[in-house]
Formats: sequence, structure tokens, C-alpha cells
Amino acid sequence: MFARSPSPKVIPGFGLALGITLAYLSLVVLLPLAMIPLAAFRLAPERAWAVVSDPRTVHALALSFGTALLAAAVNAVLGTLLAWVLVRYDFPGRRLVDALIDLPFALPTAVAGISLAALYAPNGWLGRLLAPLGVTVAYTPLGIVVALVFVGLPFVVRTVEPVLEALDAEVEEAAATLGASWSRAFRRVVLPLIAPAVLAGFAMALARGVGEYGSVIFIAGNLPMVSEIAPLLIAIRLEEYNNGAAAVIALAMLAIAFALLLAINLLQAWNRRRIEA
Amino acid sequence: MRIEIENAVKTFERGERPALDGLSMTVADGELVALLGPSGSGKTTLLRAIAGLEGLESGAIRFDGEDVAGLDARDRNVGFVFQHYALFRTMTVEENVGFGLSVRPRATRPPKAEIAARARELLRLVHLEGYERRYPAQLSGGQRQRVALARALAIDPGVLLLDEPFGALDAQVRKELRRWLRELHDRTGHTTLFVTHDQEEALELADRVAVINAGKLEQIAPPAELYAHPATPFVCEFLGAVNRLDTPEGIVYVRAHEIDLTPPGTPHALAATLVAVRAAGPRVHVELELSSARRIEAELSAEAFAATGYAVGSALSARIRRKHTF
Repeated sequence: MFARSPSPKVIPGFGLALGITLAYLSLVVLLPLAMIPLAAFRLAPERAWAVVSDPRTVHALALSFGTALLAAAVNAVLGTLLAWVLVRYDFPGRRLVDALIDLPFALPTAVAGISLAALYAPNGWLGRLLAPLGVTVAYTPLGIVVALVFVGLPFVVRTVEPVLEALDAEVEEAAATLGASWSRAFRRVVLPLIAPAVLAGFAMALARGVGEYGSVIFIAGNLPMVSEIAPLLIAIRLEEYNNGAAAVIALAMLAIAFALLLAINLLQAWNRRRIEA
Repeated sequence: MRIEIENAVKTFERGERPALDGLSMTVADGELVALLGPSGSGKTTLLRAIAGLEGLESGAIRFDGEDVAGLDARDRNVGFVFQHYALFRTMTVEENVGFGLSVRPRATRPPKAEIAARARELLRLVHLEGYERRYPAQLSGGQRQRVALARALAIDPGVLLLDEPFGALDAQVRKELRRWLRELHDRTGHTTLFVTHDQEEALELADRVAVINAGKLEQIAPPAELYAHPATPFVCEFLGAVNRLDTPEGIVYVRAHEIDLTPPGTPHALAATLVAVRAAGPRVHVELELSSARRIEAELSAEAFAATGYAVGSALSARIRRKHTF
């Protein structure tokens, strides 16, 4: 005879659900990612270091992360503004604009790269206007930022939009009755409330930008030490059958991206604990 | 500050019944007035219109004789306490209270230390010293409500407006805060309007009670007068348990506790049969059936009922001490 201990959980299936989740996550995410360090560690440490410290690699990594950070920052500001307009105002064609936001998700990014390159080429519609100002977008790092802004835009809009929608209008009214101007109320009251969503959108846009390949290679010009991104360098090494070097660069990207995303998540968690604990 | 509302009209949706339908009333300087009415009567809309959060279609609102139609909510200097407090949850309690002062234009903004000192002083006033560094999420409902009040008082408002100030609190805290708000008003002397659907709250707390129904003012009077001399059938029905009798002289309202149970055959009383008894603590509710088969309710103390010796089925008389005829 033994007494069965009563289950303390009301929601059933925890064990099964967790098991499936972990198995799925391992199969789809962890296992493929684990191949990268495995491949990288097959290289002798000094050879691996030579690959990472190669100025061309360093430049490519700096360029990838720098342009992705810049593009994510631009998207954080403009995406928030766009979400604001979509949530707060009702205007003819609002639904159309709303649908347009998701297009960068749906389009093969190579198509975006080709159209952007055509648009910003020195003889393109926009490139022609910018050339007299001394601004060249196509085949420069600036072109990479433009491409990354394009592919990253939906992330910020789609994360900020629901939060803005759920925002209690009374909070803004309270700020108004207390004498706050609109801009001050936005900065002191609304912005802190939507900041976690903006940051989450920023993180996703950043992650997407770091890994972006298709749209960038068409507009970047891909000059080593000027406009060559890390994913392209990896592809080049693979084409040279230099799988070890490719894996080392990939591992470096993985480490930096992981550190960045972890930092953002910690910031989010700290902010949540601060106001809710 | 004196507040006059003249013929206020506001419709939210075309074709719908207006939320405010030509409402007029005046609130004297330093007065504590309750806006009492059923939900949907327009009382909250009126409060929001005074604050400038809602515009009027027609009519006027005047502060000390001056029309405020052209003034934005942020320029009206009203303290508004929202039903669900609307605290800024990313700010500490002290930052919440000091917000109104800290967002003033640079020329009139007090120095930081002064704002903090003022916030602490107000938190002392609402009995929340020691909570300065907390966040709203870390407070109970009653505490949040007091932070909201301190925040509204910080701008030294000309009028204090409270929307269902005790609506979201449990009965115990409600009673306590009610008494406390009355004391606070007597001390600070702000002209105060508060919205409630609880007649007990309105009668206990306010200098005068404005009964609002369907966007119109039914009556505004001190609680005792409102109770003794209801101006309209609505006021009579809304305040307390009341029996409605159709008599040759018109519609007569009789309050349940203004009916005496007397022996059968009492002159100037109605013959009745006792059909049900409900004891609710110290008060007893007695259901009587009149000869016309109409049922009325009488209310008396448990002792008084025991003294009569009546039980279900007893024949008796119902003597009406006071009635209101319209």
C-alpha cells in the first residue's frame, strides 16, 4: 500500500509539455548551433586566432554589428512613431499602411536588395538626388544600413503596436490634468511604459540585421575592408572549402550576438523587477 | 473656487440619448458636493467636462465666473482622481506626487529639492510617510487611492474632482477612507466634487448631494433636506427602500421605515396581512399584503418587531407616518 502524493499543479501536462519543448528546441535550435563550435574547435587554436584577428574578419564583424545596431536604432524611433500613428489616428488607408508594414517580412530579401540598389545607385531615382549632396548610399556601409532598416522595420512596429493599444488613456489624461504638455507627457509617462516593447523590437531588429544576407549583398558592393559583411565573408570561406575559418567567424558572430541579446534581456528583467517587485 | 454649470449638453454618438441633457448647477467655493446617480446617468461625463477631458456641445462651465471653454485640461488647474487611480507605474510614489510640479514650464517650476519636500509633505498628509521610494504596484488599493489624491493636491488645484473614489475598494477600507476624506476636506478647504452611485456614501460625506438622472439634475440639496423633501419621484425612489402606491390623490411614496405595525382596525391605517419576515441583523423587513392585494414592505428594529408579537399570517394595520405625494 502506498499513498499517492496529491498533485500540487492545477494546470496539467507540465512534464509532457516541457519535454516536447526541450526536445523541439534541441532539434531545431541547439543542435544546429552546436555544430558551429564543434567545427570551429577542429581548427588549431592559433589558426583559429589568426582567422579571428585577421583585419578583414574584424572589419566585417564590426561592420555587421555596427550597421545592425544603427539600423535597429533608426527603426526603434521610426517604428515607434509609425506604431503611434497606426494606433492613435484613424485615417483613410490606415489598413493599407498596416498591411504594408509586413511586406518586408514576406518579400525575398534579395528582391529588396535589388530594388534598393536600383533606387540608390548613382543614376537611380533617389541616388540621383543624393549625389549632388555628396551622399552615396549604394555600395557603401550607408547602403547596408538602408537595407537593414528596410528588413527590420516590422519588428519594432509589431511589438510596440499592441502595447500602445493596451495603454490606458486615463494615464495620459492624468498627466494632462496635472499640467503636462503633450510632449512632456509622452516623454515622462508614455515612453517609459512602451520602452520595454521598443527595446524588445530593437533586439529583434538587431538580431535580424546581424544575420541579414540577401538584401545587403546587392546594395553593399562587398568591398573587403569597406563594405563586406561577416555573413558574406563566411560564405566566401565556405566557397573556398575553408570550413574551419567559416566556422570560427560564425562562432565569433554567435558569441557577440548572444552577448548583446543577453544584455538586452537582463536590462528588461532589471526594469521589470524595479517597478513590480 | 465657485463652479457654475449652465445648460450643459453632450452627446457621444449621433442619435443616442445625450449623456448630459441641459444640466445646470452651481457649486459654492469650498463646498463638498456629491454627484449621485445610477450608472449611465451622466455624472462621470459631467466631472470629465469640468476637468476639460470632455468637450461640451453647448452650454457653459464657469470657474469663479470665468468661462473655461477655451481652456485645455492642462490649463484648468483641476485635481482629478481617476476611478482606477491612473498612477504612473514606472515612477516611484514620490515622483508620482511631484509630477504636477516637475512638468511645469521652467520659469514656474520649483527646484528639485522643493518638489521632493512638497511631495513628502503631501504623503504625510495622506498618511503614507515611508512609502516615497515604493512603486504603485507595491501598494494596496487604498494606498494607491491616497497617492492619487496626494498627486492631485500637489498642484494646489482650484477644484478637486474624484470619480468613484471608493468604487474599487472593499467595504472596510471604504468606510475608513470616507471619514478621512471628509476630515481632509475640512482641513484643506478645496472645492470638491465626487461621483458616486452609493447613496449612503453621498449622504454621509457631502455638504450637498446632486442627484443626476438621464443627463439632467433632479435635485441638489443638503442630505437631510434631500431625504425629507425629495423634489421628484426619482429622488424619492433612489434614496432608500420605498413603497410606491397608486391612490386616488396620485402616486404616493412611503419609506419602509416610516410604516408602523398597529392592531387591526386602527383608524387612518390600512388593513393588511403579514406575509413574510426577513431579519437582517438589527433591522427586520416585513412584507405586508394590503386588501388591494398590493404588497408593501415595512422596516423596523428587531426589538420593536418582537414587541408587536405578530407573525406570518397575522392580520394587522399599517399606519403610514409620512408620505411623499407627487
